[in-house]
Amino acid sequence: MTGTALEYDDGSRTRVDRARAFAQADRHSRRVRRWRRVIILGSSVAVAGFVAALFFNPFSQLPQNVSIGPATLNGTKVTMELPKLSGYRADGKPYEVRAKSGVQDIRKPKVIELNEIEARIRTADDASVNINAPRGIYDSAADTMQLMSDASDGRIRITSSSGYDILLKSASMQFKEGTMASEEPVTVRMNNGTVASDRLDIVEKGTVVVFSGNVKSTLYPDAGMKADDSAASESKDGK
Amino acid sequence: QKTASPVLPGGNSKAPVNVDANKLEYFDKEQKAVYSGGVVARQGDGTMRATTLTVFFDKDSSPTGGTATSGNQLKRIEAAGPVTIVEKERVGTGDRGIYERAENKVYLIGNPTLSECGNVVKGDKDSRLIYDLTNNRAQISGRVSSTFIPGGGNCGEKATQKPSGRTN
Repeated sequence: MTGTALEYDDGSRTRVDRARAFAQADRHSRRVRRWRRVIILGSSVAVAGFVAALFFNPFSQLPQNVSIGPATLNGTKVTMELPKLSGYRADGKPYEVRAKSGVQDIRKPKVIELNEIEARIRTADDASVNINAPRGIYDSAADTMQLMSDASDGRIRITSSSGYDILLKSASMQFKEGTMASEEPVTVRMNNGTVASDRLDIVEKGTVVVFSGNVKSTLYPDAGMKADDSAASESKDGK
Repeated sequence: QKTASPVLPGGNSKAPVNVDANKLEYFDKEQKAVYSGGVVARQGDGTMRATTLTVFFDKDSSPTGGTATSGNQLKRIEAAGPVTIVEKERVGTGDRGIYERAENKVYLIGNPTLSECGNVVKGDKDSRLIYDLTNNRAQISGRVSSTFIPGGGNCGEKATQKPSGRTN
């Protein structure tokens, strides 16, 4: 493609120049066709690759400590059977969260909604705390879990091998610090007594339970006394 | 010696102790529960009021460590901030209070006063008001000053009952 200058005089010279210009244009359009093919081909390969990556390894975004059963994908929602999330708190004590099923939206992979949850936490003094809840939302970025129970009687249950047994309507848990809070009325059976209050916090990695607001508790001095006969003794209290 | 006896003066031994407060902190490791903020403890006819109440449980030594409601027993209660114990006509006050399950006694320590039917017995800062829970008697040890109101004060229907506070 030499830069030949075109002179404007008629006769034979212009025919030659015209042929050369024609050849140039032909070469150019062939090049354009080639580039078009390359672009189309390239982009389709890229799309295929993305879909494949998505489909075959959709969970690259999930926290590594996750193991799951069979998963089904519909729309952007992935439903997992028997997910199990585990990890270690800052003080090295383990925690583990299992559920019957988990639902995760691909666009928000850090958040997993879990059903029929069973969580186990080792407290700082090595008591083991078990948490059962009908539903919860686990946020792996913040390592927190919101527990919910639609049933009015509060079907979230937290028991500790060292002696407390808690019934809750809702709770939010921070696994890393090993703390838990519930802003709704709560009832607890503990040592041999029961405690009810407006709010509950479990702090110090599960070793301290704080009840605040309207605390009402019943203590049985003798281990022998059973919780159920408290109503009886209250009613016939007057001499 | 698991004699069933009340925890509070005037309480009946069968009844549980009801404790209400603004806040309760339960320390699992130390097996103690600290009530704070307008604490009211009731058992039978006995009512104890204090600013804080600390209940100590002794971990039942059963080898299995006990189940959720294991038998760790109420061992001792410490009450702080002016403490008052009211049962029917008898009212006892003191700076601090201690209930010792083993001794079956409640002590009100520091400037105790015991008043019944208008008669008041006062101790100084070193003396103690001692409630013996087995026979529900109360007496103040140490230096006391007493004021008696002739005519039995305002005991109403039980005017004839002698005040049981004794000086020793």
